[in-house]
Amino acid sequence: MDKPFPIVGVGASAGGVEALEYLFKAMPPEPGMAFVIITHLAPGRESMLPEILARDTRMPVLIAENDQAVRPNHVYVVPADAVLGIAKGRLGVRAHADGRERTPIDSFFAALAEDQGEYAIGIVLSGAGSDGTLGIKAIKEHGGLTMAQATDHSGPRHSSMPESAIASGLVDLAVPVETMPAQLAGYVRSFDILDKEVDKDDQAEITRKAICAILLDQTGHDFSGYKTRTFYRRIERRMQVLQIHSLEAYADRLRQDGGEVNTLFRDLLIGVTNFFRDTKAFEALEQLVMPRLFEGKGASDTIRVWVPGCATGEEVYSLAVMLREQSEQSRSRVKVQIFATDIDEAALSVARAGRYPDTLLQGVSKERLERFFTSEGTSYVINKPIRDMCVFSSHSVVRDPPFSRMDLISCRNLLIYLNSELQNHVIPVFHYALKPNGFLFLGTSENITQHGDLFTSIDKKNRVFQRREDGAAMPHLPVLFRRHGITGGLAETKGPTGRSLRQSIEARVLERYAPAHVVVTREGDVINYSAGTGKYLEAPPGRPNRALMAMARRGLRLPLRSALHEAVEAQRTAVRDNVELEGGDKSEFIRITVEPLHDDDNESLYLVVFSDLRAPAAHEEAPAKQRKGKARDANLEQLERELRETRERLQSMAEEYETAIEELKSSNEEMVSVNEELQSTNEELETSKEELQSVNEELQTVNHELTVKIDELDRANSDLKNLYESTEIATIFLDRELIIRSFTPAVTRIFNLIPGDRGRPLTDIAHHLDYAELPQDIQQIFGTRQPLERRINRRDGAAHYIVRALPYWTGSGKVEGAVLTFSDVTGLAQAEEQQRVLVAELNHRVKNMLTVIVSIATQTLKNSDEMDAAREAFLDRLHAMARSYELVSRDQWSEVSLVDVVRQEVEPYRTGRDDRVVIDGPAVSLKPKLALSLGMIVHELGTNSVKYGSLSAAGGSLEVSWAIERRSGESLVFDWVERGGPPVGKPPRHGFGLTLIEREVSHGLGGKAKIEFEDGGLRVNLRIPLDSQ
Amino acid sequence: MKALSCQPSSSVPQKKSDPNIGLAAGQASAGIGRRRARRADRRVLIVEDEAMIAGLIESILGKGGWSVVGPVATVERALETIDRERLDAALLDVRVNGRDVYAVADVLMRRRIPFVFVSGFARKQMPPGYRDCAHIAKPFTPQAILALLDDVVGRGRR
Repeated sequence: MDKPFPIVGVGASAGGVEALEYLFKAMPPEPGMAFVIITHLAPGRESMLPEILARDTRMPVLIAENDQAVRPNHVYVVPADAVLGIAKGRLGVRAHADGRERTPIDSFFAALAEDQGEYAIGIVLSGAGSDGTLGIKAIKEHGGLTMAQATDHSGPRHSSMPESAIASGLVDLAVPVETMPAQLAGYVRSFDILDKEVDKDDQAEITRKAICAILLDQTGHDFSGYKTRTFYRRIERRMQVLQIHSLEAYADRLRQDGGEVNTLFRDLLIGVTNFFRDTKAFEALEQLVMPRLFEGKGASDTIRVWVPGCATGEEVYSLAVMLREQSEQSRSRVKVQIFATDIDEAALSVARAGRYPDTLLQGVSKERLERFFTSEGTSYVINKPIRDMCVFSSHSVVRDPPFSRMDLISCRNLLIYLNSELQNHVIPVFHYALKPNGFLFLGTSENITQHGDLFTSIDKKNRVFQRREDGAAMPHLPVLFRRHGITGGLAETKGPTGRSLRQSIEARVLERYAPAHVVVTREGDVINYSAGTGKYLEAPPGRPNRALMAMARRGLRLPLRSALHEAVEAQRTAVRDNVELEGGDKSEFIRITVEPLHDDDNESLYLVVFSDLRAPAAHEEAPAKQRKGKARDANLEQLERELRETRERLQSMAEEYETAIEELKSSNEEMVSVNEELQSTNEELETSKEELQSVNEELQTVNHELTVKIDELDRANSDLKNLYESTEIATIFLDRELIIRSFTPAVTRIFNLIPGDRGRPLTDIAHHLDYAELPQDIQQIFGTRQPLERRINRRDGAAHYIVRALPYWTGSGKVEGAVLTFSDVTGLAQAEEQQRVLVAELNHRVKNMLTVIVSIATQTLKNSDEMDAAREAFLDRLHAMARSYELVSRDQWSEVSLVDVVRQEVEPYRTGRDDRVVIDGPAVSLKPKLALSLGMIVHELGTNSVKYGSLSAAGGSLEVSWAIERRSGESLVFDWVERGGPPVGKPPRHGFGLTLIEREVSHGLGGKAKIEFEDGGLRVNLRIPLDSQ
Repeated sequence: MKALSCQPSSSVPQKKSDPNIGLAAGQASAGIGRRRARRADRRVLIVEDEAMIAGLIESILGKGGWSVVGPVATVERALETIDRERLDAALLDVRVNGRDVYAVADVLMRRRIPFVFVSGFARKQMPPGYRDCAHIAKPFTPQAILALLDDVVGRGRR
């Protein structure tokens, strides 16, 4: 069994390619882990990630295949159009069922968490949206390690994905991506260390108890009963993250660092909300609460539910499902509205999306899944009817004013995070928020023992409570509220017990003897009535209304309004006397007193007292005074009439104003409902926005990959272009139809090609070569798949080429065309040709020479009588010829100087006396043939002179001279003059030598020879044309 | 291919096995009406620019009963001579004074005067049309050259 190794799931989206590159560049070559990379790919696109990452790491980067075993020090990338899962250490690749997978990262992480438990590691990198947050939760719950890309330095381009994960509070390490490899390495090492640590039973147990004590001290929660194994696992995880290697050292850390205690506390609770978590509790809710919620409600009613601390929404939808089921079961048409709140915006956006990986829905029964969820790949999405029941908004239960008139509050994930002081504030808020007899549903570790006055237990074990009915129900709302809160200052509810004697007396006096009074708010809403207000107030027709002005009897409204106004504005007591109370058969006059009621913080209450006044002086006057006051009476009457009219006018104006106010109120209500509609439209837009965001992410990733690819292509192209242009070898690339794909510049010397000819068939193009079989040759190589080589000339013979035709192989091993190269070997061919010519020439000359030797031999031997003399003469001539050839070949058969030729033959005769032989003439260059001939001639003349001529006598001399004559062409005029020799007569016949000379000059050289036998000696004059040689 | 071509002849036994000796029949002068050439009347043109060699050939042929015309050392002289003189045969050095002698061969073939190439070149270095013509390499023995001439002229008679 191989040693277990961690498997790291890496999720990345927009900006992820960059982050992945940073990550793998910093990764050592053998980190001892496997990596599985999940990205958001557009459908139909294969990821180019393997090629890109292969540059950054030595580990093999593969596209994941189905049932592939995950091996350490390997990197696997999600393939196109597929969903990745993992089971028993093997990857599972499934094709998409439909369209695209919205949250592939969540899906894979959840599967990884289940399969690998504490050997699972999840990393969330740059991306938009919130994919990965739920997956992180799953990994954390199963004891794995979680990391996210921190938003600083080389922070993520798109930070919403990592931020959402971090905001869930379940990311162990939020660090820059370059430091992740080091963290991972430390984490891997610690696996071995910790296993040894925990095995030490006794010591470990003591330390564990010490840690529980620290926790109890700081958080007030007792974990000694917590499952031991799970406890150790959570502690181990924290130790691994902090790279602490012994339990004691960690306990010390806890003692010093309160923040770490909190972190450990959170980890121990692992705030993962699941669907129908704590099945028994939900069953209790279903049985005890659900039916009663629906009791007595009709189609016009709404069941209102509040879920504070809703986090990612699992609890909310669980309730919604249950309510829906109940509603159908009782065939009720009651509307249901669930308000779900949290301060964590990231969690809210996850909740609004309503999409969960299937592994998180294991608490949901199959029937419920089918009825209320839609499957999308490996996730489920909550159906619209359920979704419409829920409204998610940002709200702090501690700071913001509470909701009200709730039938049910479900708060199962919040109170344990609050200290007792805050809890004591929050529970009464819940009390306020609930309708009478509303229900409260708490989490299994939460309690409200201190508030037994506010709630009764319905099911203590499952934490189901009901709001107590309170007579003088004055909500006790904490001082924390700053807005128009209703402060407790008045009647603090003390409950049925605790009334003192003094209070009883005061109550009675108030009841019996005090004038009628009410207490109103500054808006004029009554919050308290005394007894006996019926005289002054009457309930108005229509819906119950707490507005004092609506209830006041005629005649009172105006003075009431003005008195209240005065009291509110001036914050002093306002009195209105002689207010006529109309109604009945007689009028009464009362005094209205409005007095501000001061409280410590808020003065927003006013005491309105109605006091009867004695009737003022009656209208009936003593008759005695009548006559006296007639005029006065008349005035009085006048005034009274006017007054009455004025009052009536005022009254009607007041009524008009009131009507106006009523209308404003109803407009206001309409506004409120419009607002609610806008809110739900807003939520729909949010969903669209998320969809657009995910499309955007995919496009960004694709774009980045394509840009990288384009850069590579550009570079490759540029290299190719430079290669083409630098090469002198003409090369043409053809496809299988012999269409020209491209060619190097050197080709234009052979084929008449212009750049626009790319795409035309080669056979259309004219060329200068003598190569009609070119198309057939190319077809041949398609068949044989072997290269072909030929020697081909230009038709005009001006150049020679070696033509090679090769098949064009693609990367996939197919022949998709041909490559033709033309190497210019003209120089070579010409050199070869020249060599052939030279060799032939040489052969000719050699054979000629041999034949000449034969001729010399024949002649020499014929004319000699004696063998010795014959031999000597023959050899002598042979040697002379050899010497001539030596001269000629010395300069590669080009040209020979005449002086050299003469000297060579005559020099031996110069011995001793210098002036015996004179050589005189200009420098003349001879062609080889002439040089050879003259060599032989001079030799004959010389030997002849030595034997018979001037050089045979003591006083004889020789003069050899020559000149160039230019007269109808260039001629060489050569003179051989012998003097002082023995008298010689013309011989009977010319010896061979002279015959040879004559013949040689006239026949071979086309010239004239004059041979004269003077008295002094032989004279020979030769005239040889030089042009025609 | 030229209209006139040499035809290879039957092999004649040679003293040496020399592959360069090829026997081909030159075409004799048209048969009827022409006097049958007797040995003494036989006139042969020698085209050779190397004096010593020309002399040798002349002496060999002279001893062999031929009447020598020339020798001439240039192609122009050769062409003139053919026009002027009656010839029964010709001996052509393949390369004369730096030029090829084939133009002379063409004229001889047209006039059906048999000829022999005398050459320092190998057969395959000659142009295709002439490779089959009668050919002897230098240096040659007197017997060889006389026999070949006889053969070439003799065939023409038939």
